[in-house]
Amino acid sequence: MQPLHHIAWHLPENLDFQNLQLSLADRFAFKRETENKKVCRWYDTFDWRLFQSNHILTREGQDWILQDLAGRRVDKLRGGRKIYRFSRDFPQSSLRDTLTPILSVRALIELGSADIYTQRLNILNGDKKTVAQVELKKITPKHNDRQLATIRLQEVRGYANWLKKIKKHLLALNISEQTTPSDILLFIAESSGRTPLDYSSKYDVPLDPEMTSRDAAVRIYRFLLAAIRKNEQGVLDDIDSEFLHDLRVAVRRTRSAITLLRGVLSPEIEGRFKEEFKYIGAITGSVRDLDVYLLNRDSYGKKLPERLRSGLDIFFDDLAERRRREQRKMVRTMRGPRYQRILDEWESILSSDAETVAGEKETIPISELAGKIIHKRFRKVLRDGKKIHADTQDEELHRLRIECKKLRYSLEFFSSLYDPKRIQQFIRQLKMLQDNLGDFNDLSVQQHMLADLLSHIRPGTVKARELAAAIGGLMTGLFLRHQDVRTRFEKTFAHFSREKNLALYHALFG
Amino acid sequence: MAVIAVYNIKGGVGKTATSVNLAYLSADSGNKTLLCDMDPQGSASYYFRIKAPKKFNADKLLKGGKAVLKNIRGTDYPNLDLLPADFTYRNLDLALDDCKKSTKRISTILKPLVKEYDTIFLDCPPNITLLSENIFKAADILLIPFIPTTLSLLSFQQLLNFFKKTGIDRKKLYVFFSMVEKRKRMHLDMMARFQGRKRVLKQPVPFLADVEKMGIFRKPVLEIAPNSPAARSYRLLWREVEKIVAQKQ
Ligand SMILES: Nc1ncnc2c1ncn2[C@@H]1O[C@H](COP(=O)(O)OP(=O)(O)OP(=O)(O)O)[C@@H](O)[C@H]1O
Ligand SMILES: [Mg+2]
Repeated sequence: MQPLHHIAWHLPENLDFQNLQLSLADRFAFKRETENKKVCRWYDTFDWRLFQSNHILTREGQDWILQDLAGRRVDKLRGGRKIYRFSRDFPQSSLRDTLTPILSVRALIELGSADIYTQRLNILNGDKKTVAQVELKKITPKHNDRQLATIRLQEVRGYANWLKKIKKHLLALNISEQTTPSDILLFIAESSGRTPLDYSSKYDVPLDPEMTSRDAAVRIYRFLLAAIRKNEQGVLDDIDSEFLHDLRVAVRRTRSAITLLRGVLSPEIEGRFKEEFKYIGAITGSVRDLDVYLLNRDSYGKKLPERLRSGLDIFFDDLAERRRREQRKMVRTMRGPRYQRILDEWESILSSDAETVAGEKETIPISELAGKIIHKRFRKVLRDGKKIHADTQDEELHRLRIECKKLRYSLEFFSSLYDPKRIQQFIRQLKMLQDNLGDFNDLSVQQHMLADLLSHIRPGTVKARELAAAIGGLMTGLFLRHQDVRTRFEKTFAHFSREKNLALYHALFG
Repeated sequence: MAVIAVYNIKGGVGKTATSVNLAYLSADSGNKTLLCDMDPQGSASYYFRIKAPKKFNADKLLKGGKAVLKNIRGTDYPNLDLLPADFTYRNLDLALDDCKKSTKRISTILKPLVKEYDTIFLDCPPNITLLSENIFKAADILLIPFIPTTLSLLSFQQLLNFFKKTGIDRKKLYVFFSMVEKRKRMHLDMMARFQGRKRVLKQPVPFLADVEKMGIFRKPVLEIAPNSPAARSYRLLWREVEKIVAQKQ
């Protein structure tokens, strides 16, 4: 069956609802429904996951409404009085099922709110049957005195000719600029200082091959500093774990860039800020470690029989409490003088063109320096990787993981200087190797966590014994997978260092 | 998904009033609902202020597919559509007789609609005809408004015989008491005889003036007087029917 048509326009400023209704009344009979006024709030994650997946989520009172960007209703839920932040906070519903994979670990934040005044007109035929609906809306954002007025026309099945007639009438009134709910979202976001897709955790800094190394470095550092700053508030307010994660990634990238680009800035500055960013990494580390544990909470719960879960709860509640303390401590430190000074001074160095800031390599074209850096990193990964065999210590694999990360960062920093298709292809190859090493690391972190958990169980009760046994089972599972990932390393590395990939490398970087 | 036909051999027992109000309630509880007006008199269409399009007729109905989809009309209420009846439906029996598989034609016509709607109501004309036999086969539930009188009992017996003869599943049949007048001894006696039997619904619809107002206002009684006893009894009746639908799934 054909879906019903609907279409919406901006209402020109010189046309108020009164005049519009008078004009419609010349041509059409209609019945005014009782007008209504309500507050509507718009939500998305900080990195616009809903918007990116073509969704708009709003709440009016207790009603949550999910639409697509074109304004088709996707789902609706009458919620409770509580405001839901994570998808898991929503009651069991198809809406929650839709949101869960999109939001993943991210929290919803309010993008803005508005008063919405709605007036519905039912257009009637000679039998006083509704044959089309006209909806007038006035949207007044909080904290903003600009208004948006829209008119929406909705088809009633079987009366398409009426839609045409009304459309023609509206066009004659100079109503022609179409609008969708995404325009309203833009308008609302703008009134609270945001624009869709204004934040993404993806690294994206295009460079010119002709640029001096210093200009390129400054561009990279600036982007990363901006990422740190954008995530700060979310970290302080503890909105979700991704703010801290993204902040730490930007810090790690900055440290890595300082090392890779050694000699572009003055040695004193490089030496000092390597230490400073290491400090930021350190003061944020323990909260992140606890986050990683806590993010596993649900998946572990599901792996244990229902009646043993309370044993897990004690452990995880304890972790959550520890995290609360660490978070408070971290917030105090971040609000303290050293953290702020680091970023302020780093910023002023990045905007200075003083000679004192410059290092010996500052004028080398970045394309030249980039090639050297990548060569060095790649050779190191190849050399270290080849040395690993069946009885190498786990420690070596962890070191290789770090080396791969450095290579990955250098590829990302300089990818815009190379053939985009090939470099993506090469990064994909590297990623396969990194995935193997990442899984290996992940599984050992998880084993540590379970060992930790095991040591927290107070012996004595039957339940405690059963829980210990169940955790033992999980640990065995993890151990076996750990072994499996470990044995697959050699194959994965051989794949990475095979002739074809080396040829690709040389085609890219000479 | 359920096809619910509201049927009785007898005329004027409240078939249309029931179809209109239950279809409204079905839509109101969130089911995409279609009401097919099968009666050439078109009373259900009239209550929704919908006229059959000029190009629509019995032949178009029997053709099925797009020819039918194109003629569905949205009512004034969310989730509720209607397929209007045309006056040419009075010859449906003859036209059906000319069709291949003449007793399964309506099932075939409903097939694409079943994909679009959660619930389909059929408001049927009275009498036993080829059209009604078609409808008995197409429906999952046959809802019989039954005015509790001896006369009704006779016609109900007639219906059961027909089902036996044609071998249609009698478990589809559900009876509820319609236009019940508490002051009438006979109504109460008759109800007492049937109350509690299998496939006899508990909730009666009393004889109430508000239902008659539907003809004046051309709206379901649930819109005219949502808090009236009439509205309440349809609501309770729908709750029972809803449960039967759920069981059938
Ligand atoms: N519960 C009721 N109380 C009072 N009047 C009713 C009730 N139900 C139906 N009526 C009225 O009785 C008349 C016949 O009802 P309705 O049209 O629903 O019956 P029907 O079985 O569809 O008739 P037909 O066989 O002519 O199609 C209508 O005028 C209707 O308003
Ligand atoms: Mg009727």
